[in-house]
Amino acid sequence: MMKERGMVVKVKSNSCIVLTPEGEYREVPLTEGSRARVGQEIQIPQRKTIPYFRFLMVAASLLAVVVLAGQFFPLAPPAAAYLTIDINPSVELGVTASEKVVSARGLNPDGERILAKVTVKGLKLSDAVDRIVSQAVTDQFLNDIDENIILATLTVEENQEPLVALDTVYEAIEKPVRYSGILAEIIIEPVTPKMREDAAKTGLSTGKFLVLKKSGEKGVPVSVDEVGGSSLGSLEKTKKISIIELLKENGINAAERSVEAEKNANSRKERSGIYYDGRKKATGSVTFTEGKTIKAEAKQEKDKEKDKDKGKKETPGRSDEKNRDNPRNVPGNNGNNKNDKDKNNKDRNDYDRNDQDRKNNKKMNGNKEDKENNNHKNNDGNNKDKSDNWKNNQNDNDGDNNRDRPGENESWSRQRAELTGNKLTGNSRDVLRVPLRWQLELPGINLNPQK
Amino acid sequence: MFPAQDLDNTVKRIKQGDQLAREDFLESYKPFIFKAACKFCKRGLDWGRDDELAIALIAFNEAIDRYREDSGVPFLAFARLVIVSRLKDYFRRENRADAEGLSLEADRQNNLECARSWEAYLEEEASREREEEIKEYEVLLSSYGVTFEDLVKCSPRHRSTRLSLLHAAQELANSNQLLNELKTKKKLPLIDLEKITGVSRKTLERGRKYIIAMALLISKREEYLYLSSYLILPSPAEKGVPEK
Repeated sequence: MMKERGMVVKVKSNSCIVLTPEGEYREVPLTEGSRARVGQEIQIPQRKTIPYFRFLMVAASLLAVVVLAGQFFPLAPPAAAYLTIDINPSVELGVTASEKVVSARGLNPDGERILAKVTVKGLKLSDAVDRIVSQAVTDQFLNDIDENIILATLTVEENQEPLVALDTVYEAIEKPVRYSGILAEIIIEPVTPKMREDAAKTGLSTGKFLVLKKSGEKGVPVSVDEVGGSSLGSLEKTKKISIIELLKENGINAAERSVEAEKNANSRKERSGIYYDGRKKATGSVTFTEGKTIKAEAKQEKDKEKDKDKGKKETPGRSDEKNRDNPRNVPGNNGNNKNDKDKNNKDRNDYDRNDQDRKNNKKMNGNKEDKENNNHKNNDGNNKDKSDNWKNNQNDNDGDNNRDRPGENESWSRQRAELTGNKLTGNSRDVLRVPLRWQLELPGINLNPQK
Repeated sequence: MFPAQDLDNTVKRIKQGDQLAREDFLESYKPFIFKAACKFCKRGLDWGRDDELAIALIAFNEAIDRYREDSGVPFLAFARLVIVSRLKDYFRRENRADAEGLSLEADRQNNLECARSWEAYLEEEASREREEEIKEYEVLLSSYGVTFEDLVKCSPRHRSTRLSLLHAAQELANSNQLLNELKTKKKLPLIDLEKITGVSRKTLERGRKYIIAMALLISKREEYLYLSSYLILPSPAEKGVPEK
């Protein structure tokens, strides 16, 4: 392109207007030092391409700014809740209200290693937890030999529902564990944000801090180093404590002042956290494959369950009678008729009945002192029965259930049988020793039993 | 249209020795010489009566010989400069002749030196005139509400658009009626222009100020010698393509 020339017609502070021979007026920037005089003919610096070039430069720099800003100030909202998982690798995940993981932090070297292997940021919480636990299984943090304890804590603001339902977390942990065939104890505990801050001060994960605190309350001397340095399984072994038991105590005193606090503990406790002793469950259900890990206690339970099954078949009439007895204590209760109807429609949903039973039980609480004991037992029985149902469903899915599977129709009568059994034997300890299992009605639980 | 380019060619031919062309050229530019001389003398002159006109004619002839195309000065402007400087010389000589008488011969001694400084003087004078001319033009434009900044904004970038606007400006400058309308109303007769040029009204309106500026420049091309001769305007044959 040939250089154009133009006659200066006006000089401005740092540019001038020229008239080209083609009759075009243009404003041309004056280079530093060169002084144009009106009437002078100057060369017009080529600037046809400059505007585009400049535009590109501006666009590129803007893009760079946006990209850099995006890196330094991520748009992701701050975590609304924190979930810690202690296997031995301890990790902490920050979760937004929409259940997205926005931060992941290893709380000990193993935890950092595990996070280096899996990417969890941006995933849904359940997926992230699934990945971490799966990786822990792959890396032999969870294996057949050790005592496997998975302790998860979720920060929950006081007087508020947990951001992420505890059962989603539970399922996310339980699934990979179950697939790998490893027996593990899974504990999920809601904690207050303050607890997390306190834990951060000691440098422990929230879960381990909780263990430390509880063991301190129980009078078991455990040092920070012991908690932080070893896995919970080995801690349980060396200190001869049960972490589940330890944590279950949490909040019980405030919640239950009754003499039967201990008996109720199981059902009440499950309202604050999830305690699932997978080791026992596994031994109970798949006895022959895991023969080496069978515990005497577990065997007992299994036997007892069989007894119960027997009892159910033997005493259906009695359980019905009992069922009718309960509403009779509360005349005018609507549930009265309904329960009778239910008797005929056994394929109806279990929940209604359980709820009604509980209602009845509660009302009965105020009635006779001598019945109270039974009521509590009934309560226990209801809860346990539900968990049994749940377990049976689980086993159906697994397909490795070698026991008789009570169908849905049977479950109701099973429940009755259990009630009767309890009543007959009067042995509340037996009920308590049945492994506590996952409850299906968790969303309705009260997370702050102290209130 | 504009004589500038034709003029340059003619001057070149005359320089090469075409005496007949020179005669014609001198004859056809007598009005220009007359104007320039009158302006300098600040009085009305008369052919065959005033010496000034004869001197101006000789100066114009001299300008043809002396003119260099690469000087960047249009021929007519150069010629005018020569005329003016010769007239100045003449007046000075008249005054001095009265006072000293014989000093004329002494001046002729250092002719060479004189010629060189004279050229330098002409150049300086030319640029001064050019500057003045442009400033005058600016003033003229401002009376129509047009500034050079406006022209920068509205002067068309595309060659075809520019050509059609220039064509419109030429038509406007050539038509006395339209030009008068512009001068009195200080407004473009857009409708008439649209009819004459066939350029769309929208384009005309957008280049309104540009057309005004160019039309003024073309119509007063004898006043704005430097500017008008600087432009290489399209020949009438190469009319602007009407924009669609």
